[in-house]
Amino acid sequence: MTRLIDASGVPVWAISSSGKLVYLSSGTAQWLGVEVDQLVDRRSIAGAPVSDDPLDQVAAALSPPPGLAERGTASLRVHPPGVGPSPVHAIQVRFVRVGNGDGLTIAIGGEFNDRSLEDDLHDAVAIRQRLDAWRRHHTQLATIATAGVSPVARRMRLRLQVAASTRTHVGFFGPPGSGAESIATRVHQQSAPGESMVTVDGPLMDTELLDATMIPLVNQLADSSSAKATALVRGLDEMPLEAQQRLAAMLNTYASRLRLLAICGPRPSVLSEPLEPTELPSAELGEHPRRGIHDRLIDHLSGLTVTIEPLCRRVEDIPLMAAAAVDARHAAGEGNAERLSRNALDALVAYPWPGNFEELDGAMRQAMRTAPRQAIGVEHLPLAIRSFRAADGIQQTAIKSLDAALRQYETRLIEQAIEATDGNRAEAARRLGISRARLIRRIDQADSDD
Amino acid sequence: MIELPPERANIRPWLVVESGDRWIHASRRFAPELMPPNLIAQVRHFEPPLTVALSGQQRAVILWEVRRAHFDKAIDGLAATRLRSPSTLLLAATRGLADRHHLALSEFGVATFVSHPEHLPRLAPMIGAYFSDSRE
Repeated sequence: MTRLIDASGVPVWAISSSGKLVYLSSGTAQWLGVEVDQLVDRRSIAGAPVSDDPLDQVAAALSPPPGLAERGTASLRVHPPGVGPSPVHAIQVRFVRVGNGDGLTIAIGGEFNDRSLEDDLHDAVAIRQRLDAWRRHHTQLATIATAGVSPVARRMRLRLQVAASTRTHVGFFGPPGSGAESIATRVHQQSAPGESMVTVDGPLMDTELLDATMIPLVNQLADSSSAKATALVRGLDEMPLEAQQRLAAMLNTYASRLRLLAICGPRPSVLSEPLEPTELPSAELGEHPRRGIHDRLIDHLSGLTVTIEPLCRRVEDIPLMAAAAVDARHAAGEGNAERLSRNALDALVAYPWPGNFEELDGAMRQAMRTAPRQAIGVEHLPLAIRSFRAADGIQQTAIKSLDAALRQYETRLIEQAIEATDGNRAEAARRLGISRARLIRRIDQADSDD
Repeated sequence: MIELPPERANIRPWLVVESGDRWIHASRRFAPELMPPNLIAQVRHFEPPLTVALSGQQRAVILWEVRRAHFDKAIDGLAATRLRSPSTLLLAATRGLADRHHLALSEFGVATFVSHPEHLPRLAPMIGAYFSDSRE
């Protein structure tokens, strides 16, 4: 064994349980520039006092770091002082404790790469944990956002089931705050598990930025003919037209391998090719005044669309969604509350929810923090919700000018007169005290105003 | 900007009978959405006599909170309302009533029952049909 070690030229030495050097390889002697016999039996204990003898100081430098007995292994960069004419370079040393009780410490010099591997593994595990937590968060939000017993909720879930069962382009249409991104993410997880996805912020894109954002996917698709990927585009209908054209070109290039999940407003318009710059009003040059979806992207999205209705059209789902949000937060240990009082539910139902599902989720988050006990009351809800009071239903009709008000009143009187005379205009004019010609002129004027 | 009051002919009473304010708030929130486009709901608490509350309108909605503790009083009120104005649409807001109570209320002309404010939007087709032009 010692002959093999010597033949390798690697610095190897051994330290007894009493802290004395009992073996040094020829590689060690060569590294230190001393004879082996000069160091054997010298003390090699970290922190122990040493004499002024240079060889004692060399032996002490070869000692393992403290705590080796507990850990069993340790790494250390060892740089002994030189005693010969040539300086001694530092080397990486792995110390290993072998045996129990009166054990032996073996030191092996060389280059070890396992520290960076540990770092890579640690990074990969950390990223994986965070991705999993992020995906669980979206899954939970999507579950709550699509909960409910209303016909609107049932139909939405049916369409989402279809979307989740097939890998195809999908357009999600809904107002801001509808939870569309969480829903789309969940559809992606269910329909294409393990497939890469890039999220694109549509309104912020130009063609260069879009290319840069899509590079990870494009590289993956280019590297393998069987690779697949998904682009989730937020605010597709607010994406500049040129970027939409670029996206459409990418979809054509990669055919079914690149999938589009698009999140849009409730009723986007369809855009065709952009106008020439000279055709745009001068104030709009350099801007993107037209909002909508390019017709080539409409072609891709026409296969399957999911409409996410605003919360005010799913009133009977609000108690269930709020209770689900409270349950989820209680299970995550975010508060003491387990349920909502009936008064709190009434207030939630009455509120019109301009911010939709995300506003409801935020309100439940605040209520969980505020409520000290098991039930969330009205007083724990955000001020905007607990103070909301609907009007009594009678609203004024706003008229822009006196002339418009007079025209509206005149039209109303004429309509009533004609109705009272069963369509007889001559009789209606007589009852109103005006000529038939004047009555007909007023009718024609009212028709043209409409 | 000039603002004009709406046409009185387009206003329909939506009256609420209750001891608190739960259903008046719910009615103010949802009644405007339940009315046909050309009509406006005037939501207020119901104070007898009924003829004054209806202000000459033939068609009106009355949302009556019925509790077990005062069931007989509610029945008396509903019966009197039915007699005076057979064409009003009677809705009952109930909680914790047995089937026999619901049957009795139906016999006195209650068209449907609601338990919570979120049930009001479901009544849109009924309200729309009640106020449709052909029936007014």
